[in-house]
This record gives sequence, C-alpha cells and structure tokens, in this order.
Amino acid sequence: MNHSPSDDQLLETVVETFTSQLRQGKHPSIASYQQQHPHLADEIHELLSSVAMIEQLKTPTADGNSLNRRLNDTLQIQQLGDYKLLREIGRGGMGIVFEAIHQSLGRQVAIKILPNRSTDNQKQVDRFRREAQAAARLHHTHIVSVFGVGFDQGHHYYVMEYVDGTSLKQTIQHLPFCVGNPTTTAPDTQTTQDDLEPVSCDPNGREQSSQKAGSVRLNSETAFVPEPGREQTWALEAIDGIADALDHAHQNRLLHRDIKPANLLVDPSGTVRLTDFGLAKHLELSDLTQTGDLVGTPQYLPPEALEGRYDARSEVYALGLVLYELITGRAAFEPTSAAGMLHQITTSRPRSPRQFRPDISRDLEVVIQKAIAREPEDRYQTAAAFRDDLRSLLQDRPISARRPTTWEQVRRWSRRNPTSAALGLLSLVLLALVTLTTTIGFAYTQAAYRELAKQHTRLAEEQTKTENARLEAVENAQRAVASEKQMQQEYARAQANLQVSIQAFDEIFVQLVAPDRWDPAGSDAAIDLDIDGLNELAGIQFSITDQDAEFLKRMLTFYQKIATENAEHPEMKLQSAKASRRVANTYHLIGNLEEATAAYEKAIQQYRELVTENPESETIGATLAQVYNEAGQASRRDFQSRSAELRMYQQARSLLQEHPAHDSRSMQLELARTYNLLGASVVEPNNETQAIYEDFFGILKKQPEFQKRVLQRQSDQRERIKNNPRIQDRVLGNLDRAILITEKLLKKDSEDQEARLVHAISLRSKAMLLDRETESQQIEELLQTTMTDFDKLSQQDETAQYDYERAFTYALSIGQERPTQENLEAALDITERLIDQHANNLEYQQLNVALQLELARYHFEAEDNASLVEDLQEAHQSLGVLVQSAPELVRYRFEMVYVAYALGKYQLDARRPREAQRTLMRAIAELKQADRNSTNRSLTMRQFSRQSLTRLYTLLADSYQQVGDTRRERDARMEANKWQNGRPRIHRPRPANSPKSSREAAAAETLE
Amino acid sequence: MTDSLPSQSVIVDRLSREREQALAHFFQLVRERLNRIVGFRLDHRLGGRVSQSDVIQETFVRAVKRLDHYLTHPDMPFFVWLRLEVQQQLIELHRMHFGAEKRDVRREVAILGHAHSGQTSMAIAAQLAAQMTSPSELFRRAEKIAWLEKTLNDMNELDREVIALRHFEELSNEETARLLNITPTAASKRYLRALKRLREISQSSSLHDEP
Repeated sequence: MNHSPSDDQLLETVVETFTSQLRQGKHPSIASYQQQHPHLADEIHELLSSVAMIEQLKTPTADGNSLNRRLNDTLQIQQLGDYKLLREIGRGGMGIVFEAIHQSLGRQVAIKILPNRSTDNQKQVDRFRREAQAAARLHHTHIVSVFGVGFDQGHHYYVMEYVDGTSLKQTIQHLPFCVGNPTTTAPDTQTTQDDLEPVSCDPNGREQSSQKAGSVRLNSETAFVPEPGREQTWALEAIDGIADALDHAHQNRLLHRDIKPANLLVDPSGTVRLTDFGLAKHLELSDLTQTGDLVGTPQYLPPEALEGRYDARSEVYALGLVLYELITGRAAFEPTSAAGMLHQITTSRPRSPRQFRPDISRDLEVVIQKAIAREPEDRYQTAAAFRDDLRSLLQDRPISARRPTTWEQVRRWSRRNPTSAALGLLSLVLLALVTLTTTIGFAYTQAAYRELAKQHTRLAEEQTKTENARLEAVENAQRAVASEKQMQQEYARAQANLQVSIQAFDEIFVQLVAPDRWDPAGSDAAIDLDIDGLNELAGIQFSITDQDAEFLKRMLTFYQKIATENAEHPEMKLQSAKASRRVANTYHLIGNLEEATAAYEKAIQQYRELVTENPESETIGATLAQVYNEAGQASRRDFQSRSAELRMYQQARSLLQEHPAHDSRSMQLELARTYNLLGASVVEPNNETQAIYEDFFGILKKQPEFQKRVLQRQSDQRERIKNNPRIQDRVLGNLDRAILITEKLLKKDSEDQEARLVHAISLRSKAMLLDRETESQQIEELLQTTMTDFDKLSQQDETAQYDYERAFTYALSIGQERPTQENLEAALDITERLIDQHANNLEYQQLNVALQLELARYHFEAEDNASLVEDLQEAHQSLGVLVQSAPELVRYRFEMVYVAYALGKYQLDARRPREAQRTLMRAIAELKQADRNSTNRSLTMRQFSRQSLTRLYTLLADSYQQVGDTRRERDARMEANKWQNGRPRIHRPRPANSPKSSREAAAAETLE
Repeated sequence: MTDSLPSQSVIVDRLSREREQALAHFFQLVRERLNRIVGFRLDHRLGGRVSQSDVIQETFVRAVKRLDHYLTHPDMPFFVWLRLEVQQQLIELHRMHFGAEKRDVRREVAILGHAHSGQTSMAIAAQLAAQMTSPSELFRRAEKIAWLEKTLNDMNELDREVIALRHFEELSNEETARLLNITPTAASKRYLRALKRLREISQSSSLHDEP
C-alpha cells in the first residue's frame, strides 16, 4: 500500500505509543487507534497485532508477588466447607497448605488452597474437578491420596491425606554428599525465589523460609535422614516406589505433569510418596493472562515438552532426574536462570553420575542414563520398565538396560545435530575408532575423547571378563557344584557382554565400509539388509582410503582374537566363524587380497563344519554360500585365474541347489546372486565405472587425435565374450537364470528389495553384453526395466546406492527414446546430488567424472568443440577433487593426467594457448608429484610416467609455438626429448608386478 | 525509555565538567535498560560463569576509561554509546570464554550460534522461553515461540535485528537507527515492514492471537 512519508511517521508514532502503553501494563485497544486514523485502519490493525503478539509473548504473565498478595487473604480463613483449618504448614507457588480437620469424619487432612481466579469459567472448573476426581480414584501406597476438591468463599481447595514429613527436596539437602550450589543466583527474570529449585545443601537442617511442599509439616525432628551407608539403597527403594506409583497412574490414564523433589513427600520412616496429582493440569488449563501460578523452573522439564509432547516417558525422565539427584547429591541440570536452564535441557547432557560418585555401580549408572535419555525413544518406555530395572538393581539381578553402544551414541548425537552429523559423521566414527583401538592394546590416546575411551576400556574389560567367566564356567561345570544355577547366569551375562562388544565393533565396521547404508533417522532397515557380508549389492563402498584401511587393520585384531579364542568352544563356533569372515572381508576391503583369500579359506572351513553339524539350517547354509561368493569376488579383484573365481561361485551354486532348504527365500536369493556373479563377473570390469574410463581412454589410445570413427563402447573383455558365441550363451544363460529367480521372488513379495536389486543388476549386465548395433532395441528395453526397478527401490528406501545405480544405468542408456545427452545430463544431476550429500564417497565422484567424460565424447561426436572443452574442464576439476580427497590413490592422479592431456589438446585447437599451458603445466606438476608419492614404482609405472611427460611437454611446446614464444618452446621440446630418451629416474628400482599395479599398468598401456 | 535522561547537550556538558561523577549519575539512570540488553545478549552458556551485574560493572569501568574519547566527538547519543560499550564488553567476554575453550564450545556454537554470531532470533526465542514462569505455561507457548523463532529466522537479518532492538532491547527508533547505521526513516520503514511481514505470516499459519 502506498502512502505518504507523513503517514509513515504517523504509523511509527502509533506503534510507539501503543507499545509503551502495553509495556506499562495497560490494555490499549487497537480499534481506538483505528478510529483515530481511519484511512490507515487496515495497516494499524496489522502493525499493532504484531506488536501485541510480541509483547504478550514477552511479558511474564504475572509476578509471584501478586500471588502471595492474593493468597494472604486466605490467612484470614478459619473454615472451608466442612474443614476446620488448624495451621499453615507450607506455602509455595501452588498455594498454601493447611493442616485441617474434616469435621464430620474427625479426620486429619491437609488442604491446599489454590489461588483464586475470577476468570475461571464453569468449563474450567469442571475440568479441574474431573481431574481431581480422577486423581482421587488413585489408590497407591506411594501416592498421597486425594480426597476431593471444593470451592468456598471464592477459593478452590484441594483436600488430601495428611502426611507427617518433609519433602524430598529437603532430604536431598541432608544427604552427606550433597553439594551446595554456588551458582544459585537470583534469577534474572521476574520469577520468585521459590520458583528455582536449587539444591542448596543445609546439613544443619535449617528450613527454608519459602517451603514449597504439599502437605508437609515442617518439623525437622521428624525429618527423615537415611541411615549412613544406606543412602543408595534407600534412594533406589524410594524411586522404585514412585515409579510403581506412576505406572499405576499411567495405567489409569493420568499424568502427574510436575514431578520434582518438592512434590515427593518423605515420612519419618523414609517412605516416599507423590503428591499434588491433578494440580498441574489445573494450572495448565487456566487462561493465559491470569497465570500467576508458578509451578517451578523447567529444571525437571523433559526436552520434548518444549515441542508440546508429553507422555509417560516424560515422567520417567523427570523421575530419572530425581534419582540422579538422590544418588549424586546434585541436580542433573544446575539451576541457573530459567533461560540458562532451558538451554541446558535442550542442548547439554547431564554429566555421568559416576563422575561425582565413582563408587556407584556401572549398572546403576546405565539405568539412570537410560531414564534421562534426551530422546523419549531411548528411555524406558514405561514407568514399569524403569521400576523393574530398579528392582533388579536392588536384588543384584541383571538389568534390562544396556549401555548405549558407540553406534547408538553416534546416532543419538547425530539425531540432535543433523547438519553437523552429515558432515562430520565419518570423521566422528574415525575418532571413535581411534579411541576404540586403544582398548585392544594400541597406544593411542585422545584426551578429547577420554570419555569414550573409558567406555571402550570397559568393553575390553568385559571381554576379559567373558574369558574368565568361561574358564570358570568350565571348571565349575566339571565340579557340578550346587551353585550351578547362579554360575550359569553369570556365564550368560558374560556372553551377553561379549555380544554387546561384538555388536559395537560390527556397527562401526558397517559404518566404515558402507556409510550410505546408514540411516540417520534411526531406521535399522538399511542395516538389516545384507550388510554382514561383503556383497557389492548391499552397497559396500570399495574406494577405501588409506586412513580407513588403517582403522580396519586395527579392528582385525579384535576379530582375529574372537575367531581364534572361541574356535574350540562349541557355543562360540558360529561367533568364531563370523569373525573369520569379517577378518576376510576386512582384508578384502583394504586390498590385501592374499590375506583375504587365506582368511576366506578359514571362514569357509568353519562354516562348512557348521553346515555339517546343522545340515538343516537355512541361515548357516545361505551364509556359507555368501562366503563362497565373497571369496570369488576377492579372487577376481586379485586378478587370479578365472577358474579359482568360478570354482567359488560353483561351490555356492551346488550348495544352494542341494540344500534341504533350497526353496527358501534366502537360498533362492543367494542363488540368484550366484548366477548373477557367474554372469556379471565376466561382463563387468573390476569396477563398474572403470568401464567408462576404459572406453574413454580406449579412444585416446586408439585415436589419439579423436579421429571420427565408429566408437567402440565395450571394453575388450566384453568384446571377446561377444565374439565367442559359446561363452556369450553361457553367460547370458546365467544372467537369465538370475533374472528368472528374482522375478519369482518378486512375484511372491513385490517389496523384496534385495531381490529387486539383483534383478535390476542382472538385467543391466545383460544389456551390457548385447550387441549395440544389432540389438539396440532389446538393450533399451532391458535398461528401461532396470530403471523402473531402481525407481521403485528408491521409493521404498531412499538409499544413495539406488540413486547411484540409477545414474549409472542412465549413463549406459543409448537413448532411442531420449537423446544421449539428455540421459547423461540426468545421470549427472543424480551424481551431483549424491556428491552434495556424501562428500566422502569416492565412488560417486568417480562416476561423476566418468559421466562428464561421456558427455565430452558425445560433444566430440557432435563436433561441438566449445562444449567439449567445457566438459573436459569439468572432468578435470572433478578429478582434482578426487585427487584431493584421496591423495594416496595414484589412479586418480594418472586419470587426471589423461584428461589434462585431452583438455590441453582441445584448448590448443580452440586457439586458447594460455589456458592450454596452464592445464599442461599443472598436469606435469601433478604427474611428477604422483610419481614421487607412489609406493608402487614398477617398471610399467615408470614407463607410463615417462611417456606421459613426453606427450605433455610436446603439447606444451606446441602451445608456446602458437604464441610465438620460441625460447620456452625450445625448453619444452628439450624436456620432451629428455623424457622420451628415458632419462634415468631417481627412484630406486623395485621388483615389479605387485598385484596392485595391474590396474595402473592397464591404464598405462592405454596411452600407447 | 530515554525520558529519564536529560538532553544530549546537558549530558555532554555535565560529563565534561563533572567527569566520572556525572557518568556514574547518568549510568545509573540507564542501568536497568542496559541490564535488559545484557540479559538479552549474554550468551546463555555463560550464565553460570558471568553474572549480568558483572558485565554492567565492567561496562562502567570501560566507559570511564573511554570517556575522554567519547567527549572528543560526542555526536553519538549517550545511551547509544553506552550500548556499544556493552556490546564490546560482551564480545570480549565471549571471545575470552569461548576462545579459551575452543574445543568444548565449538560444537555448542554450531547448535546455538547466537548472541555475538548474529543469530538474534535464537536469543529472542531463549529470552521468551525464559520469561515463562512455569512448565505448563511453556507448554502452551512453546508452539508460538517456536513459530516466532522460525519466522524471524526466515526474515532478512537486518529486519530481524530491528525487531530485536525495538522489542527486546526496547530501544527507540532513533537509537535503533544509530546502531544499525541507517537513517531513522529507513529504520522506521524497516521496522514497520517487518511487523507487517510477521502479521502476514502469522495469519497464514493462524497462530496469531487477537489482542
């Protein structure tokens, strides 16, 4: 709306006046301002409404003093209905408590007079009454009985059982280890002193003036003090009783809503009871402007309450905080200002109780931590569950709660900090691993993570304990003494502890090798999917950095230990076999394929024994098949003879076909996988994206000048298969079988993700095998179906792996319906998003580069040189990122050199010599650097470097020629000559042909 | 508001003649307002370690030291000058505490990141929440506070700051303009616009109470 400057001024004045009136506590009417300035009425309404909203939110609703003023009137009261008031016994934000006599029954009661509210409407009064009636129906030893509510002389009152005692708040102050709280300062808001609930210890038993308890008689002589040395037991019993009381209330669909020490009464015998049921609700119902009723600070407020959620678990939390306080003698959250309090609750975690009381048991600590977990899902789900664990503690029985595993801790942390988690997840896990390895004997100390380290030391301790327990168990069993039962229990517990530690390691392992299967939302579905094995289909990431490899190596020790130490023990056989498999997979991942093969042999042997012992077991059978398949893949990566690889798959196949449970889903699925491997292993190169690389460099190799010719898309190996119809038929047959089986599985359950994944990948492998020229129609159809599969998978489960597969499939599509460029760009879109989300995943970066190169080729064919240079630039840049994120992977550096060469060439063709020079010089520097850093100085490698340098320098000389810089041109040519003539290298020669070099060697050949 | 302070010329005149004594006198007049500002801007993580009154005290000491400097160019209103000194004091405090414990706080900063890092809205939400005297009241208002926080977050930084200064530090338009280094007309325009924007958003989310 347009208006004059003077109107603006007017509006400013109106807003100012209105604001200052509000701040003075007046209730100005918006309408009156509108009437004064009718031409601005709409705007005035808009502006003043906003002002009113902010100022109202800001204004504390009433100050505590006014409450006391109002309550002071009640002091004059002698009689309320049938009750004769005897004396005041306490007062606080909720009202004043009197000792009274119910005259007609002659019963001693406590009466709490609530602040009267003139505005209470009938509806609210009714609700208050209903709530009180509900509370009155609760009968429990640990709940102060409510007799009823009444209304007389303008006062609502609440009649309850008279309890002779003090509040738990005071008992805490009397605890010998209670810690005074020096930071208890006057609040900076207008809350009254008694709204804060500081645990200021007062060993002398001096009562605080603003006693706030319910029906409490202030009598320090009768005040209960736990017997010295029995404090902890008493605390557990007390909270156990209250948890039971809460469970009773919850089952009656009643929430207390204000659990705190001040609402827990302790009678002289030490029995604790919960009071003020049904009151908090009442206060909540009162209307906004009139609430001068102060329930207390948010000290015991569960974090979720800030989001308006409050349920039984919230009460478990509050009660957990009370237990914390009883055990440690200090509040979990230090009472500061209300604002500081809120920040603590929402952002920090109470310090571990054992930090203050190292003498308390670990189990007790676990129980407390579980009760006060920040996320309701992580707590005891019911008060009963909490109570049961408290009882277990009291009776020295095992508790149900277990220490959160490292993994859960990471997850919890991530749930709280989603953004940091996404970025820092990997590094966090790596750090966790560092500390973890300390426990298995590696001298790593990380002061920053001392806390974590401590926990892992415990893991290690527990491991030793397991071992001892086992030995003891064996001995004891031989003696068959009377205490057999107890010992068994102990043994079971030790076993369970070992399970927990294995689980922690497993979680970390999974996180490390398959970060994208990790789902921060906490769904375990992704992990449940086959992650135990090293199945490519499950999304295992193969581009492992040196750092990851180092950690994995350290973890090996752990698994090896489990594998060897438990091998002899029948119950632990499965555990041992599992660990062997994990050892093998770990070697496999870090590229130590020789060790991996040996470890697989061991794992296979162990699983075979297990299969012999359990011939019917579907799980064990299927697992053995998986191990065979994994071993086969390791052979393939090791460039071992194909027959060794195929033998493994064949073993898996016959096992699966002959097993009694061969019809089961897991066996059928594994069979499909086996067929897929039998087929795909020949079709797909070691690394899928490698295929595209090979193609691209194939062109560089065969047509260094990018001569226009029919392009060959398939790599040589696939070429060979295609040229041999017998092999092709066999391979296609295997793939068709995989497709058939998975189709059947999908018919049974269309939601079977694993089956769909095998289905899709088999289809794609088949498409890659067909002849592009003559069977393009079928290829397109196969890829279409593949795409439909991946689309569906993405819908079921948003895993990056599926996106990756989609992008990859796009890249292969030859585009009859859609032009190739569109497919490529769609694929690029996906990978770029993936990279955004998973900056650490090299595979995605790699696919991105491959796609950019494909696009470059497309533009090359279209003779669009400008776009070609652009694509190459992009690819070059992306490779730079790859090199940076994995400097130890020499492959990327060399690939960068190739791309730089091509880029330089086309920049030169496009008459951009300066740019070409920059590109080339950088490539030369990179190459020299890579060569220096390379641990693999095989002959092929040196040859490769030399040839590349020759070419790069020649091209550089050409570029100087183009700008007429003869001196530099001459220098560059000299360099080129030097490299061509095989200048001796500084490196000392090393025995060539380590398996690792094969890939680089293959790459090197392509340049020639 | 600033009504309690005499005019700028009177202040400058007395400051030049009576020095610290006058400063103490005028300081006392605005002490409550400064206190509100400190309460609003002081990082809550410092709550246990630094008291508001300490900050006020130190600001006074600071002002005494810099009085000469101020008097050489007293074109800035007295209160705005003091507020700047408060701000400077807070920045140093934050730097001292969080600089020294980088490791511990780094993570927290990512979560809170308010006060000196400019996330005024976080401070606003915290202050609003702090005013709630009971958990039950908080229950009721939490939604609204969360809404306000979110809305402010979505607003332009300067607009957000204007709202903060006007409503949470309770500064006048002229003071706001001074601090933000814009003309009073521009400050007023921004403020009115921000208010309208709030209203628009609140109507679409129907969380707004009719006063």
